[in-house]
Amino acid sequence: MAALEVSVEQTRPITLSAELTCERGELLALVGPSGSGKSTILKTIAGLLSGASGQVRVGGSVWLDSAAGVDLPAHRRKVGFVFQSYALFPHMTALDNVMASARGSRAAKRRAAADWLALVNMKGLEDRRPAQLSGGQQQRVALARALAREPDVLLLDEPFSAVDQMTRDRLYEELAELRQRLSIPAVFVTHSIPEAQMLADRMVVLHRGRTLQSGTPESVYRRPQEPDVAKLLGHKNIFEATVVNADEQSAVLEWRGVAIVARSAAVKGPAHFVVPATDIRIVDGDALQRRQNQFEARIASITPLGGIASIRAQLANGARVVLSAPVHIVARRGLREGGTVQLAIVASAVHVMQGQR
Amino acid sequence: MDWTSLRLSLLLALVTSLLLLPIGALAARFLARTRIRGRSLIEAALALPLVLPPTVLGYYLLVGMGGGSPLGAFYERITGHPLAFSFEGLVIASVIFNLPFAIIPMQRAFEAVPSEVLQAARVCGMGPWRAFARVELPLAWPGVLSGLVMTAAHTLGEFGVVLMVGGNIPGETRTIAIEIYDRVQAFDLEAAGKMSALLLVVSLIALGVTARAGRGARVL
Repeated sequence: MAALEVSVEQTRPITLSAELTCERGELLALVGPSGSGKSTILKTIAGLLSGASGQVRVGGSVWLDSAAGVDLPAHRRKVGFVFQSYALFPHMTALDNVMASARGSRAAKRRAAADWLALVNMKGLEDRRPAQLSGGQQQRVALARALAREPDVLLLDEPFSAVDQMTRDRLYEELAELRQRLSIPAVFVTHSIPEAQMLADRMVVLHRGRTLQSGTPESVYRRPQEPDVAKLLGHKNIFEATVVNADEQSAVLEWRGVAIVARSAAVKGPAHFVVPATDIRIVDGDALQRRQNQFEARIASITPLGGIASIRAQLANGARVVLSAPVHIVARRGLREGGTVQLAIVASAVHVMQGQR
Repeated sequence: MDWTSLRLSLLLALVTSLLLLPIGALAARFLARTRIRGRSLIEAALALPLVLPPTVLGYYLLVGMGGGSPLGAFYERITGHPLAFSFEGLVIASVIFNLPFAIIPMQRAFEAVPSEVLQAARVCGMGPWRAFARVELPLAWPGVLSGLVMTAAHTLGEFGVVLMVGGNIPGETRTIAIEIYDRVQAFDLEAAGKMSALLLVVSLIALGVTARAGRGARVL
């Protein structure tokens, strides 16, 4: 049994059909566009929403089991919660904020709160009020307050959305470091795929209140279950095709009149496939001696962004693909808009999904 | 100048405010967070004293407290004297006609406390009452205080309801506002003028304190 098991099934106030689990010491990212129900799930775990319907189990204890009439009030669930707005108590100092969730005698609380503040690099700022702290500092106090509760679950609701990029990078590092010390399940909500990929052990993709897929960020990104997930993860190269032949090692698809080889396909007939922009490569060679998955394409646009250029190109079969290549490669090969280029699509990166649902 | 009526008015203002601190704060907190259906109706009923002529309100209170009413009869059986035309009756009337003056500013203050801050109190392990005492009430305090000050100032100045419910009994129900009216009726304009000026100053101070508390709330 996982340390945290959640299943929510409800139609009000918003429709949710979600299931997730999280192990001790695991950091799980709940990913989805805004309005997909991420925060609602977090608040359901914490017991902050009335009328929740489903089950929440933490360790051996049941926090919510609406069928059995169990619904522990929020203050009796041992949960550390970092709110999107941090929600510090504005009339209390940083130290008092953290003490508010600590247990024990007053002296013990004070000691624990000071220790937690030191751990999140807030030593020396204990007596400041929230209004006197920067966004990043407020976030640290909020994290210390959540941990001082000695929670069985740590929940973070878009913890990095309200700070500037520099602060965010530093907070990423601090969280990555801190989580090594935590032996509880931790769930954080984000709409940023890179954030999930950077921090999380596993991610759960949520769309319109439904959990679509879960797995390591890498595996979910490389092997999305359906076109919706691929789109949510930012994939640009999602195409319709027909699986004509598939075995253990590989599959062949008919794609707008040309054949493309993919990693094995679990489906037959109409399907979608996806390929990351980084797995469409620019190759040498001419049109006469093409190799597997090699196509000639006309370049529609080249957009440099930092050191990487995003190239839109149209294949001879009419399909429009997006690939990315380092800017210096673009320059060395003399690529220009309107010109032609030989592209190779890495077969092992071509992932086949169900066709129309 | 008659200090008895001023003392009586101040006592009435103090007792009314002290009673409305818990009553008003709890009612305001309830109205600020509840989503029950009849909320608008309750709010309308609470605001009635703002628009009703004091004599109308006074009439209903008098009827409600008279010997023929259950409350009046009950009170008389317990204490041996009637509720109407007594200081206690005046206190009850005063609490009722001050409900909107206390509750409206308090309700606005409770509404201004962000709901995530309240949720944070709950996940910190505070039960509903502890969260109220340690987080909500301190954050709403400027508004609560301003409700109490408005109540006190309004009590000092109320005339119609007091006259209807309390009559004009020296030392028992004759407040300063009624005393002023009496002085004018007796052509004692000098005393009336002094007492009027006093009330003016007290009201001005009360409103000043309220405005200051409001600014304090924004600094938080």
